Amino acid sequence: MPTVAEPAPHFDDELPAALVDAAAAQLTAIEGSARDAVVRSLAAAHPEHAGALRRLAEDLARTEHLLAAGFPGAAPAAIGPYQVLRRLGAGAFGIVYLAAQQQPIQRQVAIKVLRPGAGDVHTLARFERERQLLAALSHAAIAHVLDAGALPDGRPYFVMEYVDGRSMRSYCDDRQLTVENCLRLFVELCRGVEHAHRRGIVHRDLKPANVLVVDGEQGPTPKIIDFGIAKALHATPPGEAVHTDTGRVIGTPGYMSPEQAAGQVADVDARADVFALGVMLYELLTGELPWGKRPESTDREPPPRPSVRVASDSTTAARRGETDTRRLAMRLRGDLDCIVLKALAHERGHRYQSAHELAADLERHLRGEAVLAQPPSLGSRLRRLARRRRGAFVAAGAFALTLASGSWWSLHYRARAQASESEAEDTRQRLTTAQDRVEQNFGAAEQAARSLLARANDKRLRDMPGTEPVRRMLVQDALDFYDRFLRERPAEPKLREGRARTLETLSRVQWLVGQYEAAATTAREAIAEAEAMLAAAPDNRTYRGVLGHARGALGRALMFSGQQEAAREALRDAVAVYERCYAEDPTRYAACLAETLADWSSVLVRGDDADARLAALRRAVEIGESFVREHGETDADAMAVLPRSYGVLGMHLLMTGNLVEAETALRRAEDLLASMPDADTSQVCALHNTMGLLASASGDHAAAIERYEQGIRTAQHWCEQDASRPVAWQALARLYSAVAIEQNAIGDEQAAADANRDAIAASEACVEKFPADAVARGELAVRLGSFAVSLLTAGRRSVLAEAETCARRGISVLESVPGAVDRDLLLRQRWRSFAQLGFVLDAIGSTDAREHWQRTAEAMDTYQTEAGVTLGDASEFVQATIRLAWHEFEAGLDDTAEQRSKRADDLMREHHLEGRDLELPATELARLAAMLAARRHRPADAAAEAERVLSEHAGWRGALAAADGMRAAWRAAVAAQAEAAVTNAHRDRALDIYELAITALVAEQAEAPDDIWIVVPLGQARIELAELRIDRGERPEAQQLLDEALPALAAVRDEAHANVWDEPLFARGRELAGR
Amino acid sequence: MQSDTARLFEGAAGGDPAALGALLEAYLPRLHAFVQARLGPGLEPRESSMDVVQSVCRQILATRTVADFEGEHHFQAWLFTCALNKVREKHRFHRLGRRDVAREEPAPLAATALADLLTPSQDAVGKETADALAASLAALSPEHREVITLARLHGLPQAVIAEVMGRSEPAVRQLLGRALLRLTRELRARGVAFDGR
Repeated sequence: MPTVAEPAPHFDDELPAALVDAAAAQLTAIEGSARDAVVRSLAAAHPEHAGALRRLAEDLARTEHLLAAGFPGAAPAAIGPYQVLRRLGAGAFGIVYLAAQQQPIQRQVAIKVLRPGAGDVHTLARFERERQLLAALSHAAIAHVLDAGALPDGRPYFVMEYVDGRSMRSYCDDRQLTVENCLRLFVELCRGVEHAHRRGIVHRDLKPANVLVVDGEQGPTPKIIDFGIAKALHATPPGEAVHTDTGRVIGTPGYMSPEQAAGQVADVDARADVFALGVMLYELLTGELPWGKRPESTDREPPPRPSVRVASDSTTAARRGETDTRRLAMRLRGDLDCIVLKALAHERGHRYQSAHELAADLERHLRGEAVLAQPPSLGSRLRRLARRRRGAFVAAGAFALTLASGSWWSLHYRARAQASESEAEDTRQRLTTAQDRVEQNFGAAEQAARSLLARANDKRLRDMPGTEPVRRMLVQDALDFYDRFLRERPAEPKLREGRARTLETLSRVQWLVGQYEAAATTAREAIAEAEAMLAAAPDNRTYRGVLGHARGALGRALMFSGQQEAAREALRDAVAVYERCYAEDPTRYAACLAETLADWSSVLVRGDDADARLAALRRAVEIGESFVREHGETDADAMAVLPRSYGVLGMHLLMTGNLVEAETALRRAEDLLASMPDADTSQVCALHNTMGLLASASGDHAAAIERYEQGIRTAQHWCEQDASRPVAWQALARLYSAVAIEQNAIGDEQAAADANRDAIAASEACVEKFPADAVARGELAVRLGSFAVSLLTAGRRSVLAEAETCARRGISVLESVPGAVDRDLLLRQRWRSFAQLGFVLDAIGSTDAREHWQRTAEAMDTYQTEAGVTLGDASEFVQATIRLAWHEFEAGLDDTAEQRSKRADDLMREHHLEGRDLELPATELARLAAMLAARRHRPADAAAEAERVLSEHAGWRGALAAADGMRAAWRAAVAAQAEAAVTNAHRDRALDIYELAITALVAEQAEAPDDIWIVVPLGQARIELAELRIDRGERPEAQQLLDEALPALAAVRDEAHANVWDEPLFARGRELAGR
Repeated sequence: MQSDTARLFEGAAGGDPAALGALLEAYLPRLHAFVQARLGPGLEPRESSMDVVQSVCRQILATRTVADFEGEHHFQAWLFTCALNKVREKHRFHRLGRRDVAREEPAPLAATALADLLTPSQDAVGKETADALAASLAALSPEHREVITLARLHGLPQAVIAEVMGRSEPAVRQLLGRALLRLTRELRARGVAFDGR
């Protein structure tokens, strides 16, 4: 609001009072140009007062402008030819009225009367020009500007199509539109903006108040109002700041782009509208403005990601029709986060370059395709956070996944296709009319039944999501035929074959919809039928084929109901049958054999299965490749098996540490999938997952996360498209879980926790949708447990309550798993859930921990003896075993502890643990061994153990374990009253190694200054070293160490949880310092 | 609209009840705003103002025919005078019943109501100007405030104002001119910029 600096001369100073009176009275009676005439005639009569008279007229007009604008209650009776009905609202530019138009047609219009100063004659002229352009705008999402004019007092007005709608946000909120529906509406909005942009028109003031939603015949439509008006009003010369006379910047705080806020009008182009759209999308999804109402120009930092923002506010979730915040956050994370942030980029060059690009990316997201927007900060985030990890029981990383990996590549269903459900229904109708003929003509009936079955097995139908009910009907009809006929002619072999085939098909359909128990039962019936047929005709190849199919179906059903042992047998038998079939007819049985081999391999997960597994997979690949050599990439079924075989092979190679070969295999799988037009979604997900694991194993966490996120996009789409299959949800949950592991690996605990919560949410959704699915429950238990453990990695107390809740829930979910599940699987997750809670209780410092670990020990023993540790859980089992051994050591059960350490060591060798999976347990074992030796008064053994671990593990962990071991050796030597030379040698060696460990830890700390898992060991090592130096009489050096150690430790004392904190050691340090 | 209401007035005067209804409807927003501005927040403006408007409409439907009026201006004047009387009654009623809403000047625009009305329009003129406008109007004499309100805020023709205020038309014109000049001075004294100076 500009004010005048010095008193302005005005009419009162010059004009005689009588003339003022007369002039004012005359002017008030008339308006507009008539006033000019009055002023002219008065000026002619009083030429000496001409200037003052003109100023008087101007001032009066100005006062009246202010009055008119200042009193919203005062609606003019009419504006031009329009009859004013009521006031709709007031905005920055003026007041909007609802008015009635009589000519040429009767309709309601909205009229925006500009406030005084917002527009003048020039504005109107400009607007007239602009109107030529606006006339070209014809889009459902844009409210048309119909007319413009000026009131008698000179205020310009614009007449627009009246939109009886509600603001977009309140529309979406009140109807609780889902994210999808909001996005669809928003894409419409973008299309409208795009339409204008293509005609060179920029809105410049897009905001929720300017976008209304109307319910039309074609559903809700957004309508943008005020298009072009801002431009008409503010065609300020380039470079000049856009200000109104009241000093206000054009655009609305919170929505205007940084370039608008900076007043650089020359820079305001379509991308300013993209920015405003970004703000609106953010608001729509989160319920809040990205930066609040702060001017963006001061804020180059990107706003919080939408998924993070919603996590803090539970009300948004309800408005988006989501049951909880976490699920909404999950929905937003990834694509939508990236899209919104790209639209909101501070530099317009980094934004979408047009509304079209934004709309196109949103549509890609809606279709489940990869979006253009990529997290821009991932690289920098990694640079910031990349560091080696720490902490117990997190290394499980890759292996926690491989646990589930057996079935990963088995989430096999073939590519989607174009057949429509109604087409399938038609066929069924057509075929069921054949039923009428059945009674007279057995041949025709049999034919009809066969066609039903063929139709049910038709690739297009089989592969189309959501058609299982139709397929099941077809199959059931066929089955009814066979059952009926068989009652009449029990000996007819053709009928038995048909029935067996039908049962096998039914089993597969049941499998597809997650009815694994039923699928197994049906498959067994099919096997019985096929075996009976074969018994009668041992050389019949067709019957053998049917038997192979039936056994394969049984194997898969068992595998998915978690009965791994039974599945192994069934699949082994199926492979045997198919091998014979393949020998007889390679072309026909290549796909069946390869597929069954791949399935079989995925249940060969025991430690001693490795060779068999590799052999099976190599055989599957070989069969597939030779088929391709012979027939080219023609047969879709055969082709579908090959990438899967490579995928599982790659996974196996990866797990056995053969990264190079793994990559070769996976690349081949990827190429094959890429070349298949209808690549199977499950396989694409599995490939992303395995590729992510490969990247992770190679240490490239960024690439791993990227892969997993690609997988997540695919899986999300899969869930939406094909909600009837538990595997889609399971895939989604696993991929989130994988992201969590990587985020933990790069130290982004927040992101890891988010991803874990997403994984749990997805698993919960799966359990909710498929309450009878045992695997779904098992997986939920897995997710809860691994989240609990991953919460421990920050080393902080504050998250322990959540960790304990999760861990306990994990156990109780596991107890709710339906009984019929494979014992191995249950036993495995049972000890895992127990151990997970054990680690949490340790971190809490709970007095129940020891008792709980005793129960855990029983569960672990049972698992090891009855099921056997597999490659997939060896690392975790070893870590839990070592923790148990420590508890036993602390309880004084040295022998038990030693035996347990030995078992851990055996397992590590047996499963060839490597890298972090090896370093952590190996250094812990060495420390424990040294402690045991020391307690048994064998200082030399302890020292030897220390030297061994130091030579084998170069990092700070190795050094620290060695130093602790050597220190124990020294203590033991002192206690045994050994010669001074011996004790001093141990002491000095311990001293050296602590120095080494401290150097390594300091280097580590430079990378991760706040990492409790570094800060605490470093402080502790300094205390230990100080004690050794005191013993050597080096008091000042010791004091310096303590001065460094104690404040650093004190700073984290309240935060650090009991897994990392050692209170007695800290107390000793204080005591040393006090002496 | 002028011509529209004129047509409706003729229709109503000719005895067309639909035209009378439409005529009243056309005046409704202005009548409502007029009443609202006069009641002020002390008198539960929303409900009461609608009551007053309805009561005016009932009265004309029950006791008068449009043919009684000599031209539309006369009709308009009656309408607003009637509304004004009803507002006065309301104020009197409240003054008798409740001391705290008692006012010396019940009928004309209440300063508080004015301030109330100004609040939303900060959007249009900015807060400083809105504040200056409210203060300037409050500083005017009741007569000046009244004439400005009737002429500029309710947009009544001067002939109607003359009837409502019980003055001649030239007197109203003179009063309005002075009132607007007074307002201009008040605004300028409050730092509101006048073009170019």
